[in-house]
Amino acid sequence: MKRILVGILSLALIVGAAPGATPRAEAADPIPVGVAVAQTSNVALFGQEQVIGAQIAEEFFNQKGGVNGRPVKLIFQDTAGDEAGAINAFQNLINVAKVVAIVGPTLSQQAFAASPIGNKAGVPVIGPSNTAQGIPQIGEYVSRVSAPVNQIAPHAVKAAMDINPNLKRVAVLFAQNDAFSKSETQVFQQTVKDNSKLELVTTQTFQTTDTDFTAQTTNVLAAKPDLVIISGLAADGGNLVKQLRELGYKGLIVGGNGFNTTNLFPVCKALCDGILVAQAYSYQASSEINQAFRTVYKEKQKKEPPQFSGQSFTAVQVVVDALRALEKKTPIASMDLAKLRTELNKQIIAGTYQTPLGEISFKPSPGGEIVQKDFYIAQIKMEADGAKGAFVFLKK
Amino acid sequence: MIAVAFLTTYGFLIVSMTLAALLALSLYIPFLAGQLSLASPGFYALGGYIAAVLATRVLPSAAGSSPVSALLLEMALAAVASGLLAVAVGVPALRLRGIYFALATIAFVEILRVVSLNLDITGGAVGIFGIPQPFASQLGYLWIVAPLLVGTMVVMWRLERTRAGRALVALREDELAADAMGINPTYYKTLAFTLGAMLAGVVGAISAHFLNTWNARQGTFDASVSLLAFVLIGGSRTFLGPVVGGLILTALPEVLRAAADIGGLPAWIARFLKEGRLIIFGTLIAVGSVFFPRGLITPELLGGPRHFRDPRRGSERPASTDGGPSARAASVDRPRRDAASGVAHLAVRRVSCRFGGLTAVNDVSFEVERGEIFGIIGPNGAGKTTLFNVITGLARPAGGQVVYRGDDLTGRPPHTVAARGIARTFQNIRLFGGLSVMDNMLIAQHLRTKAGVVSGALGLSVARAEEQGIRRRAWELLERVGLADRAGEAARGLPYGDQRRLEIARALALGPATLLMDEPAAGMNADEKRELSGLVRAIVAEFDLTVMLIEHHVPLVMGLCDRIAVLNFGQLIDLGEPEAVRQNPAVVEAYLGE
Amino acid sequence: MTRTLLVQQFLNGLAIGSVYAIFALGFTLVFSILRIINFAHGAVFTLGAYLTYALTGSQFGINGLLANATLGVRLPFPLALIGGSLLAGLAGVALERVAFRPLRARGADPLLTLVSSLGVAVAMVNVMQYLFGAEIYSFPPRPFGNVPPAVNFGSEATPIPVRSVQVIIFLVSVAVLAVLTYLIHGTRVGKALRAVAEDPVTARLLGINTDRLIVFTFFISSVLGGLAGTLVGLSVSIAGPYFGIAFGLKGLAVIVLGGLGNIPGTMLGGLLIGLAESFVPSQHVAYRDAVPFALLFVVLLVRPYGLLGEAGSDRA
Repeated sequence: MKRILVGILSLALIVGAAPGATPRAEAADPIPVGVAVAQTSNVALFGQEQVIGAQIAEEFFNQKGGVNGRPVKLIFQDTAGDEAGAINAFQNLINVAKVVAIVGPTLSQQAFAASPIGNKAGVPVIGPSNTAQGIPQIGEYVSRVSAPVNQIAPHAVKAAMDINPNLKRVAVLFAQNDAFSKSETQVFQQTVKDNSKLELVTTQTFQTTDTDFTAQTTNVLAAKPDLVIISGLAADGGNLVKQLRELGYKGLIVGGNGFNTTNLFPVCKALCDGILVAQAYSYQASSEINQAFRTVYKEKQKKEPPQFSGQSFTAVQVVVDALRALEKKTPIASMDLAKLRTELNKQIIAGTYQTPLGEISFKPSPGGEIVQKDFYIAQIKMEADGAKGAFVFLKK
Repeated sequence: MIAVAFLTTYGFLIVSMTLAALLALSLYIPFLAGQLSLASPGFYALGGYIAAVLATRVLPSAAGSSPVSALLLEMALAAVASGLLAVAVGVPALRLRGIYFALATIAFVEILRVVSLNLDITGGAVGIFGIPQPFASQLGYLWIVAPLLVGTMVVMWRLERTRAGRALVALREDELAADAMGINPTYYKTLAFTLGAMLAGVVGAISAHFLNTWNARQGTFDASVSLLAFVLIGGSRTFLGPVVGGLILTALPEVLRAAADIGGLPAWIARFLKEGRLIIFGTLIAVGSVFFPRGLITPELLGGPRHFRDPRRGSERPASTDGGPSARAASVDRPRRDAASGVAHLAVRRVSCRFGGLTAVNDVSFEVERGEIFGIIGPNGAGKTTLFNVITGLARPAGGQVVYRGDDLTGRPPHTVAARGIARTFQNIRLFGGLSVMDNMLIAQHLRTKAGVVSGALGLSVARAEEQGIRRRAWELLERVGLADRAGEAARGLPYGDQRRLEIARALALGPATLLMDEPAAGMNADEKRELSGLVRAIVAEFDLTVMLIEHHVPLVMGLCDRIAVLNFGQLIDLGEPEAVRQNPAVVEAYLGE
Repeated sequence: MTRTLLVQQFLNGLAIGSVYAIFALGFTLVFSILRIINFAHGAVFTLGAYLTYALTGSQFGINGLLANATLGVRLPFPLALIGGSLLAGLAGVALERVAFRPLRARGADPLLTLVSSLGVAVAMVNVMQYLFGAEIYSFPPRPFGNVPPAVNFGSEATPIPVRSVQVIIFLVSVAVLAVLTYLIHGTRVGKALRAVAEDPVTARLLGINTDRLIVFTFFISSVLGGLAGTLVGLSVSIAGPYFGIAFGLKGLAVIVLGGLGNIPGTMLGGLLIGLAESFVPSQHVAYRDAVPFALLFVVLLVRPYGLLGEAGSDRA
């Protein structure tokens, strides 16, 4: 199955590259696909990256002929940072723009509010970055391409143990006002507890809105850990790392999924060096499609693509690939919107895809829970002046 | 077809707008009483959690839906819980005024938010999700929220025309004067706060179902800010204001979103409309508060310059009254103690009052006999007004007793003193300036009626009869002082002399046995003073009053009073008949200083 | 609790508290003279940080309108700090002109002014997001030359470290307190300010140019706000345009605790709240954020005029 898909893709690439061979998708009858992410409010930090990834995907796939000659048109609606905004965006896309599928929303919390609406309306919803427990359980129309925390986290702890075989004492910190950090930390803590060589010496909480961590760092330093695991977001996590280092912590640090963004670098700068992060996406992954994506991204943005962009590209790709596969079975134009949405959803969950995230497929739960083969461990390497840094992919 | 499509697309928005209007009203109710409460989001969050927990854990539901009856039960429980919490928090907090009270409510919301973020039952940071739906579509919620909004608006409309509503507005206008008219501030402020809290709790219960998910982010300071904007921009002086504010400002971001999608707009405008919604919102709030300080919907807009329009509605101005039977009869039903029984009418015994280091009233004792006109004179700063304040409960004495007709009134609050039959006028006129003359008269009769919030709001016949009675009496008294022609005017717009007369009429409306007048002739010319003298004598006779009078103008006092007390530096230096007092050298020295 | 831990937590408390204090000092200055709560102070605080960032020659990220822009200049940090603060002061002056003066001219209720300042804050923060984007920015490294990252208040064996930038913030807040106190009580301008605070109408009748003094007050308050924002941004980096708004709420607790309008009280209030937060036992860290507000609530009930305020000054 994988080979057939690769073959088709290569064929499409070759065929598409040949001048005049496949007519470029016409603007006359585009297929509308909705993108509902946070373009305003402070969640826009992630949403903006998702917008860019989706836009690159739109252009990329339309250049390859779209869906059997028909282009795909992305319709963007801003969800802002709260649940009501997400619901409004979804409503607009479902009823006004009449999209065939929705990519979004940005936050898991927003997904809990808005994705049921998509589910009830029979519109496939693909979460690009929802990692909390329970998302595909919302309904059969709710899927995600962002691996849930329990799949990723254990890899990072293992990588830390590989680097320091004498690792014993572990301190865990997490942002207790963030749904995602709370689920992630449970996985981390369980991983530590399950490992007989490791001892959980202290657990500390903070808030994503915190800027001062003197209390937590004091407690952590007193427990003398070899490894510190942090589940939080870039601003708070970065400050925590910076303050831990400034106050003398010398051991290893593992960051959770919230650290998977270059927004971390300005916060801890040179002190970010050495942080281990397990990633669902690595720009160094060698697949053809990833390198193609990476090239386009670098040209536009002058930096390496972050995880959020890779995931939103993948989400759009899943929709486009599923549309193409569906078109082969039944012409899309012959279906009415409701039937199209339902059939598309079935196709999405049934398919396997070669994406920048590697090979992925879905497990019906009843919505599509992502099954991802490849995870990547990266270690942050900062330049001496702390101004530039990168996630360097560690060989497994 | 188009209508159906519109409703389907915008169903969520329409329900959101209605919920926002309701929440704005929940802030408006305490605001009626002059209390800026930013606590609604706290009760909103509480109500939502109650509904969420019950719906997901306790009440049975089938496959993502739950019956409407369950929702109604949750709403009722949310109302009860919010009410109880409001009373618990409100009673201590409502002693604060203005900004301080607002800050206390802000603190309350934050504490509640942090607590809900950490409890297991609230789901902590994740919150509760998958809340079952009682309605198949979003629009279905209108079955609940539309009647709720309409019903609340009707209650508000009625409230503003009845005793309880007037009491609230009086508190907003001048809490001290309202207290002196017999309105218990703590009771009414707590009542308003609690009603607002219950409404917010009910809206929270509905919203939890509406949004499918509930978490600690629903009850934050940001929500308080939005609600405040709804009320202040929509209109803070009438209940329609918050409703309009809530509806419009909730729709605004979506209108801007739709506007951004209109084809043909230059890209930067479209982008600004899409992403700059909050900039527009914030600017509107800032600009609105400058140009529309009372909001968009003002009472003027609705056809009346005051809070209560057209005082003549409800009872025709009687063709003729003669200061008539009901006015006098009213004072007759006060139980009368027989002066002959030896119980003094009003006894002041060794009263002292201190402010900081200053002793304003020092060991003053005297007795006032029933039916007399008792004057109090003395140079400025002698403690005369302070003495009045002690008697009427506005100031606490450091020592001594005030005994009125056998009852010890020492240290009792002003509304209790008023209930016992003592009314007063103030040195610097404390009318309810923004309200009409008639409203001032109606508010003063607060103690003569009993209708509570419920009977007032429902318009029960008992309440209606009371209304008619007090209106008629108000007309009679206004005729008596010659102000009947100005019944509909705002009190602060009256000429000075008329304001004084209104204050007297208002005090009479209370139906007191004793009237304390603090410099009623201040600022009057000789003719007016003569008229005032005549009026005082007349009302003492007509209404069977005992009057205590602070005055500076010595001839007036000499001519009018039966006995005079003289205060200097807080001490009583003479007490007796006018002629005797006038010739007392100590008195002369006090006034002329040697 | 060991003595080391006690000292550490005490120092931590002072460090946290001085951040609150430095924010609230500008806040309280406006209240003490004008009796209004200016929520836009949080936005000015943030603006100051962004302006200093621009003046250090740093680049803005890709998300805002000013994507990838840099200001031509590249000032060393202390100069940029001064420049950014002064510019923030000018922004405060503009605010006063545009938002507060019209309200004052109409004799508006202080509550209305509070709401208006909220609107201004929301608008300003969003304009900043529009222009600068929502990314995290931080200042170039080694802003004050070769200062070690932490200062050790203990010994080699039992270290009690406090981050240097926090020591700087503490010292700056004490300096600001001293300067403000001298300004208000030791200069002629200060006397005029106090007259305006007591009774603006009478002050004007006595020939004091109240309008100019009010502008001056806003200028000083906003300079302080910008200074505070930059220093806090140095400590924890500028985490988006909303980073100042979060201080606004806690700032309220600080100024009420100390006594609304009382400048030394504000410093005391800030430090006390910092200490209270620091001594919350670690298993209850989750409730730490409720501490300032619980304190605020209790103080309002028991002693509304605050620790150093005068009784009776709460009859607002």
